[in-house]
Amino acid sequence: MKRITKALQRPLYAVAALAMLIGIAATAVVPGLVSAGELTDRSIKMSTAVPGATATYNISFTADSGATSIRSVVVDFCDASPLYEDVCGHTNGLNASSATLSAQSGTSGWTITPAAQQLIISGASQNSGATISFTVAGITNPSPHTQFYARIASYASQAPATDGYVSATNVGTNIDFGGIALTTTQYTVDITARVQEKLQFCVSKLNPGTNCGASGQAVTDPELTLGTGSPTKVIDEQQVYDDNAFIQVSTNAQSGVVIRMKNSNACGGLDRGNNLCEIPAAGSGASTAGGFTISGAGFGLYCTPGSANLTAEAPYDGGTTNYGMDTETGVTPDSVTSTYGSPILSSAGAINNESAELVYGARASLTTPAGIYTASMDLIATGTF
Amino acid sequence: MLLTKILPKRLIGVLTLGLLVAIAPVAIATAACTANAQSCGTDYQVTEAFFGAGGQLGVPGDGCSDHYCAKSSVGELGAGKSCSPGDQKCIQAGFNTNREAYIEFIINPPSDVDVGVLESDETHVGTASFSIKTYLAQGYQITTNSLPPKITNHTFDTPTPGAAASTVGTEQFGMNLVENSCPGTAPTVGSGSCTGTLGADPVCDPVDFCNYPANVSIPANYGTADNYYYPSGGAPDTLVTSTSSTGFAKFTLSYIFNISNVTPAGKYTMAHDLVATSTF
Repeated sequence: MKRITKALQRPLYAVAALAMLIGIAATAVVPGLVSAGELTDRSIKMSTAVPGATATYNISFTADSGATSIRSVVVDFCDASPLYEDVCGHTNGLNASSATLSAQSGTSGWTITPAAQQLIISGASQNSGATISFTVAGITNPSPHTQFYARIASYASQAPATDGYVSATNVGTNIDFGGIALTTTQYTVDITARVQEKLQFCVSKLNPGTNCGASGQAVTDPELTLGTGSPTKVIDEQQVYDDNAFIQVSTNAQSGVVIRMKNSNACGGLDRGNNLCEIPAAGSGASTAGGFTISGAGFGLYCTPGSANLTAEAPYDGGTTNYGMDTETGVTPDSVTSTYGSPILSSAGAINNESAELVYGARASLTTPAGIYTASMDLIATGTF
Repeated sequence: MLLTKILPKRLIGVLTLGLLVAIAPVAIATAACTANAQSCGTDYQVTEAFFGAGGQLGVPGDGCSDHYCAKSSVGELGAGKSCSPGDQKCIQAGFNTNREAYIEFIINPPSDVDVGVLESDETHVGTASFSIKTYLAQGYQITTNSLPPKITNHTFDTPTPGAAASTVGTEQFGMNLVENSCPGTAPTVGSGSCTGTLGADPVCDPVDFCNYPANVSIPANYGTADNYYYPSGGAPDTLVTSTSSTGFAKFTLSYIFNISNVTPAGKYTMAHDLVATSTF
């Protein structure tokens, strides 16, 4: 029995030693998973995920509850792991050397010491258990796109080196520690939409509905007949006889639109085919603001904008009694007989479905020869984009 | 009885000690834990517990040659993922799990959204998508951090004060993260067109553990079908909030564009900057 006992002793001791080795090996193979305290609710919110962009990082955490006050934190950026026992490799493109501390909460008066891939933020004592955040501006995101990590350690001293901090893998005697994973994005969603220059203009006898009659009242042919009587209307020396039409304009021209008018008659008035202009332009064709009372034979126009977004131009701004028909040559504004016509209405900027009433008036004199007097008025809208 | 005599008491003691040492790293840490820690004490915390004979992590210095790394385990007592129903609280068993905090955020290609030439009597639309996966996190947020589409002197109008239905003829840029009906004034062919439905509800893609919908919330501004929103002025705004880790969750952005007769002309562009932030 004694011999058997002795024979088994050495193997049994070996088994015991092996068991101890297994126990030690378990902790040796799974290294560095125990830390003094943990920063909870920790995150770093980036203002942009674009690789290489200049970003603001909001670093936030809750310090582990305990008796030790915090006076500094170190944030190390690493390429491949948030764990302090792992190698902290260089994160390509990331540069925090010009970072500034733009805001802080849970602390006050703390300052920042930035380096290319590290931030040290320190200040007066802050009790553990507090939720702390630092807004750090001026950090260049890693480039190209990558996942990367931050290791945050807190210390009792304002200078972490005093508490043994050496590097991201040799953090010394820290109070709390926590790792954070971050990522840029390889792509952004690139959105494109095109808006073309737009000018919508119509002339109508009846006031048209929205978008030149796309809904509501359709555009109608503005054939105007001035005068009184039936079946044939006539004008005489008794009064000014008028008839109206409407324009409507929409445009995204940011500098506005001008509507010009040209008279097919070279004299600018009404003509019976002999080019003698026996019913001349109102006010002798002057461009005076406020227009003219037609007291003898004359022909003219006044405009009434539908809103303040359109402005009647001189001499067509005479309200409901005065008329104009600019025939002055060689002066600004252009006349109704010039190449581009006389401005009658304008806007300062883009307008939407703005309308104006055009009132044409004519009067004969006792000596006006009988006949059919006509004029064709060409209206042109020009946007400045 | 023979065995008892053969094994001296001191040997039994040594064997017992060896076994205790083997299980000690976990047994010591038994006190109440802080959030997201698997085990901890007043002075210690353990982020992973291991029962088994060991293995290699497959990182430089542990399981790597000059050119290759292998992550291996010996004698794993458990492996794979187990989740509780409903709230999807899960544990990852086995040595071959990532032991680091992790986040992956992908803007899924194709990521270009060109809605063509806009008209004041049409609504043009477009879609894009992103996916997120995060591990060992208490949750995550996804935020939008860009101005609306703009040209030099003009930024697209956006609905205020909150999400609104698409209104043709009124300048409007908005988006949401759910499935919608096609706007009735959207063209059916060409750039910016829409047929069937617009966008999609969030999904787990590929089908795997992800925490939608149990632990994911989308604000009403972005989570109401046929209503669209975008913050004016480029102020950061939260699109998605989650309260747990997740396998890949995929979200689809639906964009709408309306213009008025006075919307300035130009080529409007927007590099939509989306940021994912995990809390650990």
